[in-house]
Amino acid sequence: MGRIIKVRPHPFGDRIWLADVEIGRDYQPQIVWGGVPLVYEGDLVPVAPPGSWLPQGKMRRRRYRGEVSEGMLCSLAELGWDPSVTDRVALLDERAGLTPGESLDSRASDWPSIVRYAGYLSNSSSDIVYQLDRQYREGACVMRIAVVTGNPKPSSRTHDVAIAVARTLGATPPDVVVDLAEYAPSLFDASGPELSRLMASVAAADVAVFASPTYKASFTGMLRHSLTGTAATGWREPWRCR
Amino acid sequence: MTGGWPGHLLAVEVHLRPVLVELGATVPARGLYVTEQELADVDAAVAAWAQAAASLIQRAAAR
Repeated sequence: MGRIIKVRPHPFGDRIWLADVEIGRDYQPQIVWGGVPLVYEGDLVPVAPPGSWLPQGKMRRRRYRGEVSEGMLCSLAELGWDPSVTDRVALLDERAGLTPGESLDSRASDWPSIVRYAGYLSNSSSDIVYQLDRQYREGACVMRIAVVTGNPKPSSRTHDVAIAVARTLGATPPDVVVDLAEYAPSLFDASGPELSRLMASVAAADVAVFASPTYKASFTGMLRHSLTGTAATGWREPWRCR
Repeated sequence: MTGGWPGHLLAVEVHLRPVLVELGATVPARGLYVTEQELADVDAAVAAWAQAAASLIQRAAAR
């Protein structure tokens, strides 16, 4: 992977872009592409330098209108990670702790954990991805969102609504998703640490979405218990952006 | 919240909100109640709610 150091237009090309990329070596290769700017200074991106292998073959050095391109910035499709996301460079999440030069080979199986708003990319139209990207870049802060669903039935329609709400509010997928039904056996075990652990992760978010079906004209005992069954810590701290 | 009958749609505000507020949460927007009928198009229901709610929540979180 690499970090974009500088992006500039091709001196003689229309809609052709050049970027210097830091890849943890003693030189910064220049990579060329056509179309929209796609990446900006500071972005972390998957880089296939000449000689590296991608699913479609070996990368070679190429020349575009006189400018050398030493490799390619890769989309999820080009990496073989998600064939439906072909038209843009996969932007890596700063929070994943990656460093320029690091190989991404071993991350193929858990790529959603290192790619920005990974949960939204598959089969999303490019204007939606563009919007996400803009929100992500402009947001002085990215909200951390937690979702808690108190439906005794797992993966309920109520849970779907909660996820839809989180998607609407945030530029990134929810950071914490708790479908309480999945923890039902241990939820009411007062000695178990499970519930405190879950709710501490919820309290650490900036925004929490709580969802419940209507039981007896109110919300479920399961959600009520998750809220008040432990000494809620941290909730009185002002919630703030990272 | 979700439910079969719109008659319960105040349950979010009447029952859930006070508990969250008591716990120390800031609850800046009206709660969303989706009825059985509206579940057919969740995205539309959420979008209608978000028109007023989203910016209130985002602003409160950005303090």
